[in-house]
Amino acid sequence: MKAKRVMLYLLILGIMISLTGCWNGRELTKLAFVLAMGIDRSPKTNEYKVSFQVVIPGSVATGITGGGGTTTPVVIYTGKGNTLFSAIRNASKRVSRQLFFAHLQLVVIGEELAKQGIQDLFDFFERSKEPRLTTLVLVARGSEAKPIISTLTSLEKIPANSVSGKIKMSSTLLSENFGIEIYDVLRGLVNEGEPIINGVKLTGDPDKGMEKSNVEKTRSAAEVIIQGMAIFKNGKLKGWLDNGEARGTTWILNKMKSTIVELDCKKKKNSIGVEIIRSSTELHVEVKNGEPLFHIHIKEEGNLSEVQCPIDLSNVTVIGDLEKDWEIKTKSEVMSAVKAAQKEKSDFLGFGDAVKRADPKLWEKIKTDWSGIFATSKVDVKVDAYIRRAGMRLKPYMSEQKQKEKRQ
Amino acid sequence: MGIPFGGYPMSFFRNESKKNKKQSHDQNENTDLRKSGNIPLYSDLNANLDKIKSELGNSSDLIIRHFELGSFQAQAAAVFVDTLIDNKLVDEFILGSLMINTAQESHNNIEADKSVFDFIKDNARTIREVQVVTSWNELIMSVFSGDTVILIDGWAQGISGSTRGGEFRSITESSSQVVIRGPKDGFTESISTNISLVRRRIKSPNLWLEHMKIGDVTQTDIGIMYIKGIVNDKLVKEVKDRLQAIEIDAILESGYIEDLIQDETFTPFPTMLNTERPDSVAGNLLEGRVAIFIDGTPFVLVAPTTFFSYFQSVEDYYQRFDIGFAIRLLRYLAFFISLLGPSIYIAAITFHQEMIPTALLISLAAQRDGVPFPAFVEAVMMEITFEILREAGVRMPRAIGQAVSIVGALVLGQAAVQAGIISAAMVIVVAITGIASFAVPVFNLAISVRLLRFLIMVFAASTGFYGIAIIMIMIIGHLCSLRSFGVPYMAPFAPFNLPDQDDAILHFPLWARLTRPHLTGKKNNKRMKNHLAPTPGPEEK
Repeated sequence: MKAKRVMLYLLILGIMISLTGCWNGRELTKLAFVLAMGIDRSPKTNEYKVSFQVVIPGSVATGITGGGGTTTPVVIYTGKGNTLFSAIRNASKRVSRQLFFAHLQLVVIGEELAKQGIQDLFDFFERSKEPRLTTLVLVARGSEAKPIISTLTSLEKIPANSVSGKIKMSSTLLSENFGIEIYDVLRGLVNEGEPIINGVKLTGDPDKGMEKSNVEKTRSAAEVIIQGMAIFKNGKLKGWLDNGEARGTTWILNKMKSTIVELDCKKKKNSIGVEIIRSSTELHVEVKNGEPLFHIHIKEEGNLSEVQCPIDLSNVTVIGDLEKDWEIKTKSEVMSAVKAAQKEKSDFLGFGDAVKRADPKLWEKIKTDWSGIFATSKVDVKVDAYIRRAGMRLKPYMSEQKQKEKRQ
Repeated sequence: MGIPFGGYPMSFFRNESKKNKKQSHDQNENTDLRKSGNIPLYSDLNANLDKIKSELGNSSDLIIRHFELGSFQAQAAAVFVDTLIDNKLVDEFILGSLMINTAQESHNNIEADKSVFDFIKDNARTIREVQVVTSWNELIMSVFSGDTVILIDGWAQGISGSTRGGEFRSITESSSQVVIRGPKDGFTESISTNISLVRRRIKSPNLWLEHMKIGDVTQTDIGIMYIKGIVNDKLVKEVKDRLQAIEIDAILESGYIEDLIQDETFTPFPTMLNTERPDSVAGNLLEGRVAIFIDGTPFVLVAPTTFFSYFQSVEDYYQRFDIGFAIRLLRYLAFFISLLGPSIYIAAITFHQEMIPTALLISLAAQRDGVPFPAFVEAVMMEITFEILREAGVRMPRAIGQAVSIVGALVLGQAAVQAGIISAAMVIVVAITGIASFAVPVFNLAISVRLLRFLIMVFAASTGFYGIAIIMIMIIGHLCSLRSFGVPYMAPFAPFNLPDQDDAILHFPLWARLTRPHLTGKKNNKRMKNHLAPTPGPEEK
């Protein structure tokens, strides 16, 4: 009796399993892994022109397949459509495998499209289950997105990895930008402020960049560089932040990881380098007479990384002077970022959100003409800078050189 | 059978088969030892000897040696089976009996009232154990146990001297459970040797042994061993009841007994432990379990067991605790790898590609480029190949073993990958799975894992991780429903018991394992004195 029942269960189970088949199974060999996606708008038809950087596994993976095949590591496919999804499906006419977006690392937006507006671009990324919201977003600076993702890179075989690696490294070592993901952009579009997106620029000859020969030289004919950050107003590209402004922005947004600040040494300009090792920023809103006043408080610590003039670093007052210089320098960069934002009336600094959090009633009153208030609101920056270490030596060797000259 | 008249054709066959059975049973009765059993011996020597010869079909190894007891003027015969006795002992027994007889002839005349039978029995000093046999059953049993029986004309009794001997395998290292540190002796095929190996370890009067014979034809000796005062008496009774209920013609190995007394047949999980190691048996006895010795096999059964006892190697207790602990955790990891390895691989690459790190995914995709089969088929092919290799490796004559491993490693491993039939990653997965399955210390469980692995692979291939989750829930549910001689199989986790956690998945130092497992050793729970942890002694002054 018991055996009968067991057999019955097994039978039911067997039928259940075999009826499901592999309902959602996809073999690896039927998938095309899209690692980067470029979105442009074709000017004539006003359709989206979406390009996909699809990796060719055999030519990337080393090992049994012989390593480094004869083909390029990636191939670019393009599809057109009124929506992103129709563009993706239209691309199937060209791609023999199903495009698979779960490993998407980059979304590059062409500059023209960015100028026309990106407000309605991101629904697909949120709605579809495949792409991740942690995918990096970039704006192609001065070009379409397609040539950016078509350019082959050395060091990293897969161009998408190369670009994401550059963003990661420059944001941790230089902090003139920081990793901006789809989720950040969405938040910028939905919240009270504006999004800010990293810029990427193609230098050199785009046609040569597509060829394999681009990575067979010591100096590539075409190179993809992370440059600046795009600022938006009402979802439309308005301008670019560079260098100091960009770094000021990372400071205000508390994304500063590490960078190098140059200080003056007596008369010698920019001869002392300070490496930031820790930095934290607090944004505090004070409401005065119905108007918000923004306090930015930055606390930063750093090491001396280079000293090109003979100063006595064992002296506390010398260090104290350096710290003061550093505070001033930081302050000026932060203010330059604020000014750039106020000039474009683009609140990518998150000031609006800060007001909303601090005083929701006030925000309800002023939100209609916020961009005007933002452009004129006062910002107070306070910086506490500390130099912690002077590196492996205290006195610069220049000071000893000086003494030698004197003796002679 | 409940239907009085054969209402449907099936019953016709049933009745017939029943009839057949009965007939064959009747035929059996003529040769059944039990039936001729309690008939007493004849008093006539020749009649006895003739009957012995005819009952045993004139077996050529049956030796009957006639002699005359000079002083008593009595005919006698020694009956033994040539292949079961120790020659020296037989010589001493017979010769000794006779020599004493002649030497003390003068005395005997004085004590004439003492019979020849008692005289021989009492004077057989050269032998350890002497018994009187009165029935045919006893006579034949003792002859086939290796005893020598002396029959004297005019007496319906025989004198049985224990002359058991013959060739046995000597005590060697256990081949199925090898340790690095720990005793190297293993059980042999002789039950008395096996019992002695355990007795030597536990020199306690509380170590009780009960004897039993099972198997109508084989009359196999069974020993039930436990430590009185630690063991639960109900458990002993249950084991005995189950053993006594066995009515079978033959017991040739411990597996026969296990099959007949285990709680659940339709489960891939073993509910009784078998071991070749006397120290393992001793340890289990001390935790209140019962050991069942079966003559003719080096495997001793231990019951009851829990799922977690299959992960305990005796060496855990001999190594320093931290190492024992780490190795035990490693074993659980190996168990899960060998259970789930191919399934997770299949599920990940056919359903959950987003879960694989990009670089690894690209590498896997490159390997699978050109592999003609879906991952599931590939995995099943490789797993079956591996199982065949393993099975062949076990059964094969030693000399050919090397050839098999070369063919297995080179042809199947390398060539299949190079030919693009199998992806290299799959070979790696199968290899890890295979090796991991050997890390489970009890072979019983390792086999069940092999079976379950295929089942889980089917689920993984049909619905991915969702399927793996479902089958794992089913397996755990099944495990929780199992019992081994009244002990829940998943104890001490289901039901949960805190003190027993000291030696389940975790493994505490010896001084912290104060109590025996509460389900088997409740009666005498305390194992040792408290506070045995090494501490600095009192300060010297």
